[in-house]
Amino acid sequence: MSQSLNPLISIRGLTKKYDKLVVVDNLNLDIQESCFALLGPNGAGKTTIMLMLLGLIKPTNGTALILGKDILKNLEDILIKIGFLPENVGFFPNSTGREHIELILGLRNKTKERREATELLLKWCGLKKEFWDKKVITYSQGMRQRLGIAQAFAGNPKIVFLDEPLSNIDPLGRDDLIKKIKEKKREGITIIIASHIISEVEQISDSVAIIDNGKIKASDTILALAQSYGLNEYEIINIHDDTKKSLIEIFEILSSKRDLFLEHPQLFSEKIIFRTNNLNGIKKVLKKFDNFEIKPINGTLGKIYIKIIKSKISE
Amino acid sequence: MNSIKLSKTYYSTEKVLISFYFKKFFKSFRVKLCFIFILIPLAYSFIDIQNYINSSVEINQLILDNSIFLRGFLSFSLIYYNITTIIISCDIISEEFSNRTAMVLYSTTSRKKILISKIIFIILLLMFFELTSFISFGILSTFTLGLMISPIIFILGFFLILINMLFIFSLTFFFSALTRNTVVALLIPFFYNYSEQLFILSDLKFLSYSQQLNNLISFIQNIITNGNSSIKYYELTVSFIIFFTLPIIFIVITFYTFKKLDIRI
Repeated sequence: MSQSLNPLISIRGLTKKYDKLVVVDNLNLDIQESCFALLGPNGAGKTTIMLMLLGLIKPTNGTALILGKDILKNLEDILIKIGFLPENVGFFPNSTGREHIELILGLRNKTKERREATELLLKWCGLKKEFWDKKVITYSQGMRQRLGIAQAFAGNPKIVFLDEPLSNIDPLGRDDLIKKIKEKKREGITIIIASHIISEVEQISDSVAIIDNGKIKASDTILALAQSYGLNEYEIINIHDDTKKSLIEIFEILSSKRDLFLEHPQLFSEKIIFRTNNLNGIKKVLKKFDNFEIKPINGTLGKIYIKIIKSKISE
Repeated sequence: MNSIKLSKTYYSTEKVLISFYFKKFFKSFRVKLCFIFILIPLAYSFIDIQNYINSSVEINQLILDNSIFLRGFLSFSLIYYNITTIIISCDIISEEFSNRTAMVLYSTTSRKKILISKIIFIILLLMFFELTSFISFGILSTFTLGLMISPIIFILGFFLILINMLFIFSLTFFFSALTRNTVVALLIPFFYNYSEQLFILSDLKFLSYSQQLNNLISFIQNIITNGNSSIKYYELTVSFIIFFTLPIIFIVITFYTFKKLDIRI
């Protein structure tokens, strides 16, 4: 990803070795306010990077600045502003969902309004009310994952790390949680996701770093990556509410600008799909519509990922 | 989601953690087990007092302080207090690794604060059980003998037993943190507890922690009964140093090594 003046997370030469095995190799990366994904196959080093940033694993070399503070020197100050959902999150089996959230709120924010904030979070994550005061041991895997996501966002953190957040969740629940994570992103919380599920990453993230064998193979916004890999199919979606009227209005405007497209754009119920080599021209046209977002069509990230992995194999 | 404005309170991280640990402990089945273990020495003491009452010996303050309390109650209690300590603290670190809560917990605040909270929680819990047992004994002896234990002996006994329990805790804490395995953290102190007699019999007294406690109790007993001690000065000094410093050494080593460990499950 392009480097800028004040990134939220700035990773410098981060390395982790276990004896001779290099798990993370001299990683340099700047992450801005957005939803950023660490994408890569199993064992690529995604989780290790996250755990080092959270101070759970000591780096062999290098460091990182989070919110301007060094993880090796000011970890405690950083942790209070960070949420974390580990892969296969665990809970004290004999404690209730409410007690867990209250504990995390107490540790993170020292809040007086713990009870109210806890109930809001439990409601937000979609955990049924009758389970709030039941022991976690009685929860299904999906309910635990929801509780895990709730605790990650407890206490209004500035950055939330989610490691494989949608694993163990059924497809309907997955869509619901994607919406909730996007909601938090719109509230201004920076979300860092580690995942090997491309479709999941594509739906939530704006920017991505593709990691393999502890090294970054590519890093940028998905839009920029699509352009640089010559993938020219995009979609326009409404990011706030479903005002189909505006979508039709945009479609009519775009239809009159035939020269911007490789093929005539297509209107669907919730999006407009088009192919172009002149994305900037289309962005100009859409400037006055701030409720809409241009992004590569679903599946683009998968194509980029395959191209990168293939280039690695051919190397 | 309607976000709520969160304000800071005077609750420190340690307070939040300690109250959570207390709640969790008093909900677990172990609390019943611990109460049973502190009741057993009381039952022994009750029988002991009855035997004194039924015998022709006239019970005075010296017999109560020395024979019934120090030699009787404290000796009975020691083994059960040690087991109680092991039961309370064997999963103090390892539990978070077996139920996978460690990654969430250690990513919210510093390890130092978490470890300090755990130590304070254990000390408070041990003091609670010990105090319950000691006060029960005090009431028992007052009602059955019409005599109260000398306050200084009571406080000394309480303090010595607490330090002894802290040693057992520090040992359990050490193995719980290093191995992150509850079974190991339970078995090693348990095994040590029972092998102490072997150390004493095989002339390896310096390896037995409770021997140091016995030396200190014998010293107090001698002072009470004879006004002077037959224990050699250097032996007493060594016992004193080992008794008070060993738990601290174990806790410091645990702190130092655990801070360096990778929290990865």
